[in-house]
Amino acid sequence: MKETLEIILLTLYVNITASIIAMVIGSLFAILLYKYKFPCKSLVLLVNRTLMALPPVVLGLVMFLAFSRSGPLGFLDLLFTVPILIITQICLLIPIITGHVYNYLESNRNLLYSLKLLGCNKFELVLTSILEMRKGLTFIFFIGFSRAVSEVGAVMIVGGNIAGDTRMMTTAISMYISMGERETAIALGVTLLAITFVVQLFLRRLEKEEIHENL
Amino acid sequence: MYKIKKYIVLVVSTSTLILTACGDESVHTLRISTTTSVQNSGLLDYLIEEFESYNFTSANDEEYKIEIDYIANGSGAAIELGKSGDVDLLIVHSEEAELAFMEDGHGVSREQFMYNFFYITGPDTIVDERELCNNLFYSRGDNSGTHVAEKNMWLDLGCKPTGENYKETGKGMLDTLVIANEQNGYTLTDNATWLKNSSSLQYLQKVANGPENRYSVITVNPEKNSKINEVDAILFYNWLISDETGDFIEAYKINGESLFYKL
Repeated sequence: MKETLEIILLTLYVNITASIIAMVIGSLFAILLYKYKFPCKSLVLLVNRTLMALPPVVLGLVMFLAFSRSGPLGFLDLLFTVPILIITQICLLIPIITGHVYNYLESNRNLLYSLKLLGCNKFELVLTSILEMRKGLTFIFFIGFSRAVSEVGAVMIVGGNIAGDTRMMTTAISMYISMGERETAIALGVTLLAITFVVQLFLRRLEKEEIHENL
Repeated sequence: MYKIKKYIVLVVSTSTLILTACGDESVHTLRISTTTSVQNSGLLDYLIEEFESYNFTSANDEEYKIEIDYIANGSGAAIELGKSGDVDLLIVHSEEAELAFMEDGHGVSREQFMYNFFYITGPDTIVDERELCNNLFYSRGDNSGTHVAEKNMWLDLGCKPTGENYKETGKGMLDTLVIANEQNGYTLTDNATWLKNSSSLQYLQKVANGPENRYSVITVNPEKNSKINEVDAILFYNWLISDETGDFIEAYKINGESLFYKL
């Protein structure tokens, strides 16, 4: 039971942290892409969209080769530790969040344009647009979190599924399946869904509360 | 906004909880790369629990304990982790690859310390093992120790199933057994995975003993990088190959049968 709790806490810690950091970095990239025109912009967008389909196992392998003790970043000694799990998840999420936020900004061009016409300064513009677009942004955050929490290939390679250390819910599930402990695997799978449900519920409540405040 | 504050508190408290779990000075960490069959049999957890209960004395007279972290892959991938110097010790069963590993200077000491038998499992009994060559056979196909043993088995038999009769799953032992069970095929399995799961593989039976399956322990060459824990790897190595540990290994049983025997 204690072990399961540790796995759940680690899964939450890694994926929530990664989603938040990736949300910040990804949004910044999206804003830069939205705001500035530069040569090869369409190529950058194309690369971004391609990376949205990056297979996690491939990312895991690249991270493994980079962070292996015999690799260029081996001196950091991060392989098979919790930080590398977070870093890998962030790398996986950044293109996805950048793509979604960019797309969302594009479809809200009118709003952003009106805010400018209303004479907002830069700070007000950013604050107001975040407030106005919070629902969409919350949803994008949730897309990122869902992707991270269901990911198994990359965290298996860089984390190593070490008991009490880097064992996450998905890697534990995959291990239990290969061990023939199907009941445990299914129980963990249901727990993972339940956690996602609670996170979703939490985000919904945030939305509702704000609507209430506005009334 | 207070919700967000609550949320931050949750994240911070979770992280402190996880951080306090590690960072004990008197515990050394030993990192092992092993094969899925050793992990899935439960033997490794059984051995580690015993070993982690011992106290050791360091060169400057301080008592410490050794904590073992292990990463389980097929033998091919397990040995690669030793080559890249990401682990301190290997427990594997793929003799040719092990010898090549030693020859290339990746390892310091190697000893075969336990063995068991591969089992041939399938839907119907066979009289002659060469019958396997004319039946549907599922191979691991993942360069694992079991896969290598299977390839050697074909060499010994002088024939091999071909075409539609030979399928590679590219998956672990139990996954391969499950597929063979569903598709009425034969397969080669380590006895541990079989004994643990035979009750749920209702269409398969053990039809013959396959080749012998020898497990080795290898210490990784500490010259690879400064982070390899050579001292504790040697302690574990010596413990593992000792006669008492051999008896301890044989005492590990499933359904009254020992899964591994000492060498």
